[in-house]
Amino acid sequence: MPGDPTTAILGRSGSPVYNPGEYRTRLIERFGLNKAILPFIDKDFQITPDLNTLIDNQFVVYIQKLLVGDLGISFNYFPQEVSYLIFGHRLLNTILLMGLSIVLSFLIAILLGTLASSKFKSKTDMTLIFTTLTSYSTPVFWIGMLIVFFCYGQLGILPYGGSPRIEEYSDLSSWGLDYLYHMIGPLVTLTISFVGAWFLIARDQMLGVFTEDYITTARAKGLKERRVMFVHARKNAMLPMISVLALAMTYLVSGATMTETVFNWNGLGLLTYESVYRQDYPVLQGLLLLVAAVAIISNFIADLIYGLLDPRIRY
Amino acid sequence: MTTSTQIETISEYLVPTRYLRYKIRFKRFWGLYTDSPFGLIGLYLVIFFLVIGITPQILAPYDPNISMTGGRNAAPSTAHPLGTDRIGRDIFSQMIAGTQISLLIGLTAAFIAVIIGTLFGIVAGYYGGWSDTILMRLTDFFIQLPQLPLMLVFVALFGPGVENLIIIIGLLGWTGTSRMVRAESLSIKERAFVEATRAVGASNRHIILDHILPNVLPLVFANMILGVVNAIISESALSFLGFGVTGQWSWGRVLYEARREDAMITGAWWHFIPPGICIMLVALGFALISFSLNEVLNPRLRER
Repeated sequence: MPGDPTTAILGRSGSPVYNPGEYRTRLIERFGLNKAILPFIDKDFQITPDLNTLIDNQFVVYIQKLLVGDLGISFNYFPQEVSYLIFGHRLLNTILLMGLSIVLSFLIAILLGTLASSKFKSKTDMTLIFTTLTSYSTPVFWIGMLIVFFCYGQLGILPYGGSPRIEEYSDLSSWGLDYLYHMIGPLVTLTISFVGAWFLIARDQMLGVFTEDYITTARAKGLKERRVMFVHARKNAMLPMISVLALAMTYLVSGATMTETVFNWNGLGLLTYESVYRQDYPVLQGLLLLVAAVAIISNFIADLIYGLLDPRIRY
Repeated sequence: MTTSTQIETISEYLVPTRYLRYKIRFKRFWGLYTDSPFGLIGLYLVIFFLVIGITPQILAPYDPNISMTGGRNAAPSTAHPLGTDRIGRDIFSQMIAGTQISLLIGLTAAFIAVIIGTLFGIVAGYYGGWSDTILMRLTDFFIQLPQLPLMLVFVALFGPGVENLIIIIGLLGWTGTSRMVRAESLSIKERAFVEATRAVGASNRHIILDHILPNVLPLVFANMILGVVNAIISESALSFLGFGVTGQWSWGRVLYEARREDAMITGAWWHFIPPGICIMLVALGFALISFSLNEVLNPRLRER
C-alpha cells in the first residue's frame, strides 16, 4: 500500500508531473496532510480547519457542506468532487448489477427452499443443502476467477471484464446489448454466492411454518399438497425474508467489492477498493456515509412493509 | 460381602457418576450428530487440514520464499507438484505454509468474535434495561453495515498484517452470536432453577457464571464454528485484494499472486484453482459441522 495521498495526486514515479521534493511538501502544507486530523477540503478548495480555526469547527463545517451536497474533493481523482464520483455512472452500474442479482437470487433461493422443505430429509433436500453450503463456503471472487478462466481464457464466450459506458456507443440498443453481455459474468457469480447465503434461511422458515396448526387445517380440508405449500405456507414463511432483503439493500450501494474487482465492473465496489488502495479518505468517507444512510432507510421501509403484510403487527 | 457390592453397583447404576452422565449425554449427542452424513464429512475435512496446518515445516518440500532453479512460471512437474510462480517460488510449498496462517486467522478471529458476542449477549439478556437497549442498538448498527467495505476501511486505518487481520475480522464478526446468546439467556433467566438459585441468595455473578454461561455454551460453540467460515473467507478476500497477509503465506495471498500474474488468462490453472479449492473445502468442513450441530441444538427442526 502506498504511503500517503500525495502519491495519488502527484502520480507515481516516472509520470511527467512526478516531483517528490518541492510539490509534495507544498501539497502537504496546502492540504494539511501533516496534521493529526485530516482537514476537510470542499469543492471550492476551501480547507477546514484553517491554521487558526479550532478542530471542533471542522465537524460543523463538514455537516454544513454535507447539507448542500458538498462531500469534498477526491485525492485520487484530484480535481474531481466526491459527489460527482459517487453519484454518476458508477452508482448506476452498481445498482443495475446488484439489483438484478439480488432479485434473481431471491427468487431462486425461495423456490429451492420451498422445494427442499417439502421433501424434508429426502435425497433432493440433502443434495440441495450440500450444494448451497458449498457455494456459501466458496469465496465469491474465486467463483469469478473460475468464470474468467473458463469462459474468457479457455472458451472465449464471455468478455474479460469492464462495464461499457453509454457515451461510447452510437445508439441505445447496441449499448444495452453489450452492457448485458458484459454483465453475465458478474451476475452469475453474485447469484451463486447469494443463493448459497439465502437458501438455508428460506428452507428454515418453511420448515418452521409446516408445524403450525393452520397448515394441518389446510391439509385436513383436503387441499392439494402443492396448494398448501405455495399458497398457505410460503406466504407466511416469506415474511422474515423481508428483513433479509432489507439487509441486502445496502449491497445496492456498497456493491460487491470482490466481484467488481475481479470483473473490472466500474461500480461503487471497485471505487471502494481504489480508495482504500490509494488512501483516498474523502471518497471512502462519502461511500460509508451513503451505505449507512441506505441501511437505515431500507430497514425503516422493511418495518413498514411488515406492518402492511402481517395484520398482527401494528405501529 | 457379596450383597454389599451388589447394592453398590445398583446404586451406581441408579445414580450415575459424573463420568457416566457425560458419557450418556455424549452418546445421545453423537447419535443425533451422525444422523446425517454431513457432520462426519465436515469433521474429516477439518481434521485433515488441521493436521497439515500443524506440521507445515515437515510437509512443505521447499522454502516458499526462495526462488527455485527449476525456472519461472513452470507448469506442474514431479519436482514442483503445482508449478512455480513468476519468480520461481514453489507454489505447493506456499499452499502448505498458507494452510497454517489461514486456519490460524480463521480460528482466532472467530474466537475473539464469539467472546465479544457472548459477553454482550449475556449482559444484554440478563441485566436487560438500559444495557440491553444500548448493546442491541449497537448490534443492529453493525449487522446492517456491509462487512467487507467496513473491513477495508479498518485495514486502511490500521494497515495490513496477520495480527491486524485477526483483530479486524474478530471485531466485526460478533453480531450474530450476541443476538442469539441474548435470546437464549432471556429464556434461561426466567426458568425455575435460576429463580431457585436467586431465592437462596446467589449473586448475579454466580448465576451468570454457573447457570447462564454453561447453558449457552453449546450455542456459542455452534456460532463459533460458523464464525470460522466467515473469518476464513474474509481473510482470503482481504488478502486477495492485497490488504491482508503480506509477509507470510495464506491461501488468499497465493490467489493474489495468481491474479497479479493473470493466471486466469495465461491458463496457469495450477496457480489459482488449488488454493480456491482448499478455502472451499475447509470452509465447507466447518459449515457442515455447524449445520449438523444446529440440527442437534435446534429441536424445532426435528419435529417433523
